[in-house]
Amino acid sequence: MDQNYEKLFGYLNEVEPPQNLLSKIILSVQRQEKFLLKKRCAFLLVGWMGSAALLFWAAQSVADGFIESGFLKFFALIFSDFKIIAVYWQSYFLSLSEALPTASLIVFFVSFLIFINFLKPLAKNVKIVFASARLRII
Amino acid sequence: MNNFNNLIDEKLVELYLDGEAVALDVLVERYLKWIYNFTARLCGDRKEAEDLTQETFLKAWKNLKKFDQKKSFKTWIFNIAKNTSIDYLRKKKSIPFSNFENKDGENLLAENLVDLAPLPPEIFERNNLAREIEVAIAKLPVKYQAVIFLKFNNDFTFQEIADSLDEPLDTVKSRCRRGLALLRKILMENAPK
Repeated sequence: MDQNYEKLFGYLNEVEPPQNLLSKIILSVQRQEKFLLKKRCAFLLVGWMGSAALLFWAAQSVADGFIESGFLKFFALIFSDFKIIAVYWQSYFLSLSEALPTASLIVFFVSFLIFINFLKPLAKNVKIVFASARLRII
Repeated sequence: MNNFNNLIDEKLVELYLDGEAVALDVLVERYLKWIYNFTARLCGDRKEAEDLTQETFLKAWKNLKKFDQKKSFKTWIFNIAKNTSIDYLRKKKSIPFSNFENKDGENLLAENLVDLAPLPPEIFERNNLAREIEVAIAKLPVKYQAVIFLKFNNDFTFQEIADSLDEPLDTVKSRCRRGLALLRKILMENAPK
């Protein structure tokens, strides 16, 4: 039965797509890719700038924390009173660790991680943008 | 690009996702004529078929990351083409109403066509048979057309058709049978007197 109908469909002409349709489709995909790439770069740039501002603020916070907590003064004792430190090293390091501005440090490290996590993909995508711009020029 | 032509579809998808842009070009070229013919037959307009074909490939590209590489790319892209065509017909509000369907979309005539007889030989002697077949097929419900094209134009198996159209296997076989029965009836009615 099927062979009879297969013969019928053999008469049906296949329609050739227009010659430029393939290049039209490929171009529209490339256009979309470029648009998404630029959108991604813009998002990453904004994110990176925000994380840079956060990192700067966190760094200032850490610096202020070190100064206010007296950590730097404690730390300087290693150089001025090394012999005493050597004797009471356990209490010294305990006091030193208590003086650490822990919260600020955590915020700083997290900000730094966020900063790096935006920087790496941003650099990669910007490289792609410049590479494709150079290819267009060539 | 010559090296890529010998690769299977799923490998090309994998290569494209790994950054090999040419792989996508090969896939598009491979399926362009099939998808164009399929959308042209379903929507009945070659100009629209260009846009629908472009839209199909764009949708495929956007969703390539979600494509399950263990499944068939062929049935996946035809599924996209079918949905794109149906969406177009719905927007145009012109899903062709077949003379053989009632208002509930039931094809009572097809239900009553019990046996699918072979085509009489005189049909093949007609002049302009190709045009007659095109006109006859256009009168069939869209869901029958889709099954018939995939089966006889694209040599899909029934399972592949079921996967492409997201329909149960039995439904696909039944639609094929009913579609052919209706097609036979239309062609017999147009027999020169």
